[in-house]
Amino acid sequence: MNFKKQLKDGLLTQNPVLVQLLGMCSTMAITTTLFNGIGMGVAVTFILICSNVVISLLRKVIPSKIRIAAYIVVIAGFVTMVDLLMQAYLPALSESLGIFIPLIVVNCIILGRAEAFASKNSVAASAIDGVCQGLGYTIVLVIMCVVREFLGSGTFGGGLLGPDGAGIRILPSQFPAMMMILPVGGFLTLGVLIAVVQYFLNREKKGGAAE
Amino acid sequence: MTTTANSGGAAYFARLAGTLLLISAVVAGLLGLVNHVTADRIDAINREKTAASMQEVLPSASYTELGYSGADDTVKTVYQADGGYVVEVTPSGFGGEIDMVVGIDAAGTVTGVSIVSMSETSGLGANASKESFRSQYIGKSGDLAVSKDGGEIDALTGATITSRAVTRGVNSALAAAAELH
Repeated sequence: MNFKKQLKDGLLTQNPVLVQLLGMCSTMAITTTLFNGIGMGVAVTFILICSNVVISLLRKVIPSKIRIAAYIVVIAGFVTMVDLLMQAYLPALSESLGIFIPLIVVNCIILGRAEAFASKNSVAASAIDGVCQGLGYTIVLVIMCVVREFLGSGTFGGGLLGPDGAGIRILPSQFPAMMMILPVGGFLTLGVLIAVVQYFLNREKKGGAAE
Repeated sequence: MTTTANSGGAAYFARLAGTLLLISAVVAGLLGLVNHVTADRIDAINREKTAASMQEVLPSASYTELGYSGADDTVKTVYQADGGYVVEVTPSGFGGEIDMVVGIDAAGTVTGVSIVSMSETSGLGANASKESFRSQYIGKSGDLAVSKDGGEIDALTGATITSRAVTRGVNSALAAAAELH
């Protein structure tokens, strides 16, 4: 397996959110401030690496008939551990992400990668896959957070920077369109983002064919 | 494929169940370990948060828990403070229960409102924890309502449900304190 290809897959050509359309629920729900996006991205990446490694290690032991059940147990275990550790050591983030941490259990990115990649590849390749896919997910979340926070609240870096962690105000408070931080804004942002990425991916493909 | 499964029979199914059992047991063991390490800390953080909120709404040297027997089930606990009562209430907001404490002085007016934890939408309902919203309740008494419902509390922009919930919580606290008088 080559690292460069895996990285490109994770970030672009097989991006979990933009191309595979996995993990939509969390993508829509939490991308309202930068802090949430980074926190969720890091949490998912960590769980993804752990579960990929363990599932890859166990891929020859787990009979295929019970593989989904076994994967879910492993994933749920890691998610609960991260949830508890976050509550104990990062209470602010834990409060802000709330219900979405336990919901990582059913985040399709993790089960999807377990089934599509970790169950068929070596431990090292699976760990790298976890890093790359997690990075791809995190980057999309961060982009969506920055766009939605800017248009919806008129701030940058909410939860991290500025007075009271409210973010640095860029637009005066009467301008932002509140719908951008509501779910409808999530759909709009994601739709535009997918369209842009697809446009460039298709152009690259056509360019490659013409050569 | 079917032949192997059939010929395996009981042994095959025992292997399926055994593998799953083993994985679950290992995961459960690890979870127990993590829980053991973090439980005290999480508990301490939660207690500290509630204590800090109580000090904020009505400073007092000590808080004594009083029994509340009223019908209002949003009222969780009533504490006797030096100069009045601190009531912990959990009204339902937009994203679940809002855990908040309300300080009420001996004359039955609100001395402060503080939100311990909530899961309201960040950027909208979550703004309820901001000082500018919470301070509106200070010095008020009686039955409160948001301005949309003809009251004098300015609701948060785009978060009427949250604002109503917090107001309802304050009303419940006021009623509970009044009963004890």
